[in-house]
Amino acid sequence: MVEIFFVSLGSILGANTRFEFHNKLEKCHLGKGFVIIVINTFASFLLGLFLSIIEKFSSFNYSHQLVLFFSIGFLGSLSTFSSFVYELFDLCIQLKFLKALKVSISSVSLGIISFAFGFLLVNQ
Amino acid sequence: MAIDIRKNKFILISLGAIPGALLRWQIDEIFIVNLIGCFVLGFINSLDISKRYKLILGVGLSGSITTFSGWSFYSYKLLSQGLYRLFLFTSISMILIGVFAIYLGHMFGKKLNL
Repeated sequence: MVEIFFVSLGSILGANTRFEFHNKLEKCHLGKGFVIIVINTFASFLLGLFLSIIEKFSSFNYSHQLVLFFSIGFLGSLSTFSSFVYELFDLCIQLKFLKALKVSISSVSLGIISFAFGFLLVNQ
Repeated sequence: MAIDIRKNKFILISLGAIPGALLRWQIDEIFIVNLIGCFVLGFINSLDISKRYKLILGVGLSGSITTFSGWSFYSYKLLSQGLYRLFLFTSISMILIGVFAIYLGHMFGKKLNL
């Protein structure tokens, strides 16, 4: 029951942060596909950073609850795969296959690079 | 001062985000949860429903059941283990099947609208 509470609390904050971030970034006219890349890259970086920090404090009493809240709840809900793929779907409908390919390659690469950067920042 | 739940975006998004994150946590298979979420998003976006349901099911449920950060972690693990072919195969297939899942969701939604 406590585990459900931590995941739920994290997801409430994560999903609403994503929504607010999305609205704010859209006003900056970054381009529709770019907004979701920024959010997903940021979440991947935070996950890498969090996992490396939590590894160092694995003996900490509340590390499991922190993982449930931050990693599964908050960051899992802050980042989204469905919106990213929806952008690709939109581009495919408009027959912009090259742009879809560019968006997918840059999203995946930035996600992995930012995760690695966050992870290696502490684990050096 | 009473809060009108039907208009409060924070509550509407949370209503979808909680079951989404709990399902993702319980299923614990990135490939499956991402595809379910893509189908749901395609389905919801093609339905003629009010913005409030789109916030609950689109932004909340579909956004929270899928995860990109978890996928980045999974991809990083594959690359750090030297499993480059598996990484390429899973990345390409997840994106292609994801787009197809959204297309299927759209088709189902459009049929229901008729």
